[in-house]
Amino acid sequence: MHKPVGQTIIQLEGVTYSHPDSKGMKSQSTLKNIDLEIAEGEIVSIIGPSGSGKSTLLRLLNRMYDPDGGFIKYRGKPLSEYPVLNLRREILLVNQEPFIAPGTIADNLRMADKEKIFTDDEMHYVLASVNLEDKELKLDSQRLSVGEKHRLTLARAFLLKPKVLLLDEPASSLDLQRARGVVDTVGSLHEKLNITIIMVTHRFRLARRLGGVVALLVDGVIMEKALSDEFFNAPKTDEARRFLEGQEEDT
Amino acid sequence: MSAIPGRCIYMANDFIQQITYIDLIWSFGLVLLLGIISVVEGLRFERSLGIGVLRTVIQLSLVGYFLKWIFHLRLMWVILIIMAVMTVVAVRTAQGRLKKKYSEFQWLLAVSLVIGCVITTYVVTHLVVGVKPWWRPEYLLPLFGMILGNGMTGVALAGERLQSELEHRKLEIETLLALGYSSHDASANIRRDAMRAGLMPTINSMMIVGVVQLPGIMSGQILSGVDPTLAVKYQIMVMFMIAGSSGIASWIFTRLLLGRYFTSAHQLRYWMM
Repeated sequence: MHKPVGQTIIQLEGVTYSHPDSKGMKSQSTLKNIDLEIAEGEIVSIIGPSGSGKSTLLRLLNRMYDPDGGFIKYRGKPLSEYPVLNLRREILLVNQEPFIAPGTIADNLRMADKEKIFTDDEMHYVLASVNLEDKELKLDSQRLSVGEKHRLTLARAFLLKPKVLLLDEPASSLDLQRARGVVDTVGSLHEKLNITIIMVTHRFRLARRLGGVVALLVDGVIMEKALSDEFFNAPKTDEARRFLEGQEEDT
Repeated sequence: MSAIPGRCIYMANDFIQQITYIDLIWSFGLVLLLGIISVVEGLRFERSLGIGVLRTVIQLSLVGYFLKWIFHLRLMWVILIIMAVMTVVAVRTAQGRLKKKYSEFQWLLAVSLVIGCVITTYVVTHLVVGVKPWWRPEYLLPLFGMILGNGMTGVALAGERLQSELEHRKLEIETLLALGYSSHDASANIRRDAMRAGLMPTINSMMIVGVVQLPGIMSGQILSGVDPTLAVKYQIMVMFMIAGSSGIASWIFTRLLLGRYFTSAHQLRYWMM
């Protein structure tokens, strides 16, 4: 499997997790014995079929969930040793479905931190970074298109200057062309800010477009991890070949 | 004239009109008329109306004789047992109104109601009415009943609303938690809406009290011959105590209930929703 080049920023070893039932009891494992190392500044796409545990894995990284077994380290220290609220601002998750509160674009950007006062310049800067520079801060955010709302959530995330960005199926509700626009925005932000990006998606073409490293997750197990070109051009495992062949893409 | 120990309050007993069960037959005539209308018009509620009439007469008569016996007994421990039983019934009733009924929620309801109602009952019986002894059943039981009943309604409404909001606003909460908000801050809007749901009926009735109709306590006291200006004071006290019990109990319950939906690491217990 691919070994990261550069300093490891996130490390998972033997991580397992099961979703509790309504009574809080755990039975079937969603994630089984996950080992993963991610280098600082790397782009990692975790791909796999729906229900393979991708979103769950992402949520373990910012302690929205805690693993049942194994450990997760950030910069060499277990996640549990960091104050969880500060951790979440450094390892920042952007949800699959964009949550846009009623109000203006500025109101939604200010949601990033209710105690800090962001200047107009700061807000204009992040909007420009996500190609929303033509939008007024006082525009009603409900008037944005779905793609623009996705980018607004990215802009909100970037106001906090995270070290690691977790993207859960970015632009899943968009057609492939618009989704590519969102992914390109993510790519350009990576270049500008040199942050670590971990994206989960079931659409392998978005992962291919973003480049970096690809890890295939099937039934809660990482089957293969390789550089993007290697993975897509010459997958090593049967699971990877089956996944790539079986993918139905948007037109 | 009769005096009540504790504070000097006089009632003009000779103004109280006595009514017998025979006199009640006239009022039954009104219900009978409703039943006839139902039969003639084919509305088909005469059966449930009949059951309602029977239950009204039997239940209230039993309660009346029971209360007469309790007032005669004058034993503090009996009063406290009755209050405890009332509280258990209120907890079970409120629990039944919640969408998700985890057994631990009963304890949260019990704690909220006991604290909210004890505080209110103490204020009313000790500081406002000042009756002696404090457990005098003619005062404590009716007042506690109103306090508990409204507290129960308040926590049920607040709890119901809170669970509904948690379900519908899950995305908002997860987004705020992911942005580094504490569970307290992420759920602030939901807490506010749940409290509003618990309190608004009380606040709305405070807005219209005395304008649309004379409220129950006041009407009952005036019918019993109490001076209207005194009856008004009792009614004001009752309105405030209702607001107090439902507000305090709702506030405690929303905080306790929300606490069960989040871990100490500010994680949402999504499987409970």
